[in-house]
Amino acid sequence: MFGYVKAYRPWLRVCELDLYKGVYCGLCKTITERSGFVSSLLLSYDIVFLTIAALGYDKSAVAAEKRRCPLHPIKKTPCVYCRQAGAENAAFEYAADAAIMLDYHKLRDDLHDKGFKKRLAAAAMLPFFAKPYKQAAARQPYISQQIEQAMAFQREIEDMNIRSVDAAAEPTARMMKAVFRGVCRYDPDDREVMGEFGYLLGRFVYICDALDDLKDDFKKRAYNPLVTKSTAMTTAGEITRESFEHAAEYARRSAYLTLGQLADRYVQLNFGDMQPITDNVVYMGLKSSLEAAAKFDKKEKKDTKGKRI
Amino acid sequence: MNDPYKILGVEPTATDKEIKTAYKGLVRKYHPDRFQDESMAEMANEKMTEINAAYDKIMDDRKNGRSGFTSYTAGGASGGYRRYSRESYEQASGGGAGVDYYQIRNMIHAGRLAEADNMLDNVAQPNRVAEWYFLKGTICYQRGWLNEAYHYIAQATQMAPGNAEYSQALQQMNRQRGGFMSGGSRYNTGNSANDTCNCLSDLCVADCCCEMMGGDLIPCC
Repeated sequence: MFGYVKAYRPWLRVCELDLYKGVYCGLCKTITERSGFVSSLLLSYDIVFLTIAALGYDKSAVAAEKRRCPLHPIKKTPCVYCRQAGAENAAFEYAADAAIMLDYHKLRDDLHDKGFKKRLAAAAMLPFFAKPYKQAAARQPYISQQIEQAMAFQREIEDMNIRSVDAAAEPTARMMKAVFRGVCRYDPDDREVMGEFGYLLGRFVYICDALDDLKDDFKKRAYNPLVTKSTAMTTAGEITRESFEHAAEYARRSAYLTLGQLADRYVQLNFGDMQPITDNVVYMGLKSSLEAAAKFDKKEKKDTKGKRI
Repeated sequence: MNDPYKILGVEPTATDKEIKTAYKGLVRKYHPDRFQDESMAEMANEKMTEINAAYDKIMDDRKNGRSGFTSYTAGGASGGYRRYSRESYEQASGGGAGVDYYQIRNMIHAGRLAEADNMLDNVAQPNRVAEWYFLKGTICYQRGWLNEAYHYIAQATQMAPGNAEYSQALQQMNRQRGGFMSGGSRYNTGNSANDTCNCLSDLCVADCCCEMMGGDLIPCC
């Protein structure tokens, strides 16, 4: 999806990092088994966070086994799965469905992108997603409907060239709201809190993404809510460093306010054994992603990734 | 979809609370964890999907444009405004120039955001007092439109600098804009780690160390 919701690794304990990676592996396996190899290629750590939140919320007992997979053909890597019988791997299966639905719509969205490479990649991948998407949407009718609405809404906002970050972030936020609500399928009260948590997380992700793409979008004259009338241009048609810093400061304040609200919801929820990892993502990982997105140069971005803030 | 009320087994006239109780009962009954047999669990899962869809549909319909957050005052979130009696309210807000802000406030409290927003929008620009901006900000806040909420609440505070309610809400938002996250103090997010608690515990440790070496940093303990 976007890749902004991830752990700040230096502050994970070794056992937590193993679990974190293992969940990625288990999720990848679930997707491959259900939807084919190609669908697993787009898997990001955002969905791993969703899985970990679901595992923690459900208080699922997990275990790991060492497996070989196409990505690690030589060395076996630990792969996490649920130990409970009955509602087996519910968290993984739910997250896999969510991943397929989100990726499918992301690819459809990329077809409208201005960059040729992106369009080509999307067109090549999309056929592999059609059938898995249908299956996932049949299992999660409410979520797929919400995502579809959000995507239509997103295009509308872009066409109307709306300059409000609040409005521009709404579709992504609603999408994530629907996805996170599904984690608390059986509790109407927690579901609302989790939905709000998802809304705010989606809003944060959108702001990060807008800031990350600001330079490119400005160059390509593509839609970006952070471009204002006073945004200055260099002779080469690029955004000036000063304007970028200005936009970054605005985005940072918006994102911090969002995170503050997000934390207010987060403390109301109980993620059981997974709390150390979710804490790490919520309190450190998100800010770290934001700081990387707020850097002007690509090189600076790279250097910031994984840095403590 | 079939009639969502029938799926939950309640009358369409049932209150929200009755619906929630019925829903919780069904969840207990069909929770897939209760079934050992795989085919039974699958059937229960399907049933749950149907029940959830029905519940969501009813709740969405009942909210009717109330797309906002529900647990707005929960968890010590900011902007949790006070509930006034009408008299004390008018005293506090200094009257509303012919606009019934008390009613709008109650509407927001009941979650009827779209209606309240509509009423506020109908107030002409010159009649928009500080309370108007505060309520507008509150609605944005509940919807999750935080930038606009901040803008409106800041405006309200500027127009009525003495109002404790406005400035408290603004202060909370400013803290969060500076990077504060509740529950995150261990991770040193934004707020400095040198708070009183840490400082005191550091002193205690220093005292212990001194005592170990035969000296004494804090003579009384």
